[in-house]
Amino acid sequence: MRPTEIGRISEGPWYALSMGKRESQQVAYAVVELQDARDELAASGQDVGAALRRIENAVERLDCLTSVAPGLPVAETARYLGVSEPTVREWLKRGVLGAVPGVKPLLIERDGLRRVHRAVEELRERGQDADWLRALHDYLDDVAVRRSPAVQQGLAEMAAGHLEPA
Amino acid sequence: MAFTVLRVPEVRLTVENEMTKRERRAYDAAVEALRGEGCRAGGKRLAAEDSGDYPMCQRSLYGTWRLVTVYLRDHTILIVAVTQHTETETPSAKLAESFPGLAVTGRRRSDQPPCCDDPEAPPTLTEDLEELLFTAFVL
Repeated sequence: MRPTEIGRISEGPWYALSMGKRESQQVAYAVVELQDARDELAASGQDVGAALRRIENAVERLDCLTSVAPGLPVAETARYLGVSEPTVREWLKRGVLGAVPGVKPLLIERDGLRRVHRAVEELRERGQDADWLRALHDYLDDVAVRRSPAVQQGLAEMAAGHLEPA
Repeated sequence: MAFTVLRVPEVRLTVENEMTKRERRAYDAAVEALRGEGCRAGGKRLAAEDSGDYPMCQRSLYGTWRLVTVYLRDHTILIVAVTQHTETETPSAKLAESFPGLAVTGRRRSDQPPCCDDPEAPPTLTEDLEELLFTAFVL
């Protein structure tokens, strides 16, 4: 325990006071991974009720620590999702991931992060099928053309009957 | 059989104000081909998002220019847009940049169905995956 914290023991539990920012982020990361493990076990269809309850209890106890970070920093998020940090920042801008409000340096919200992680894992797994992957690339490019501002404007003009001979 | 080819005013403005002479010649040639050959001159068929979508096709013009057409039941062809297409800004390129292991190699544009054919069925996606892909790479 750091000397500066000794006098503050009465304000809260010692383990909370002794946990640094880095440790609290590591605990947050561990909570996220425990939650993923719980979901995987639950989806396995096996009789793992007791193990699930133990994991849920552990997650609950960890989440009760007031010093546990409410989210993961960009670097940890990138490691967790297996993408680059610029990709994480781009996804934040586009609203794929959410930032914990009022926190600096920024932290990525854990709940939304787990949903994105599931989707990323699914993408990596299904992307092993070359035919599916090729169809996905074509589909995304085609949808982008259909939804482009120029095409949307053209369709609106068409719907309004604004047409002329080419 | 000659097909009726119409365009929206925005297309005229783009052709007149943004295209070079050479690009305009490519546009005019595409319009002539559409009049004479119909959907056979439409390029590739774009995948449909749902059954309510108009049949829509995209044809390359000169350089980065693309021509997007819609086909009505009375065989009229509408040019709804002429746009510039940058390969590095497509969702496909962005997806490959974020997930290098998921780049498609050796893909040929001609593999996609021609304009007169039915569109390919969209790949099946779960709700979470569709949301990720569309928010991260398309919208």
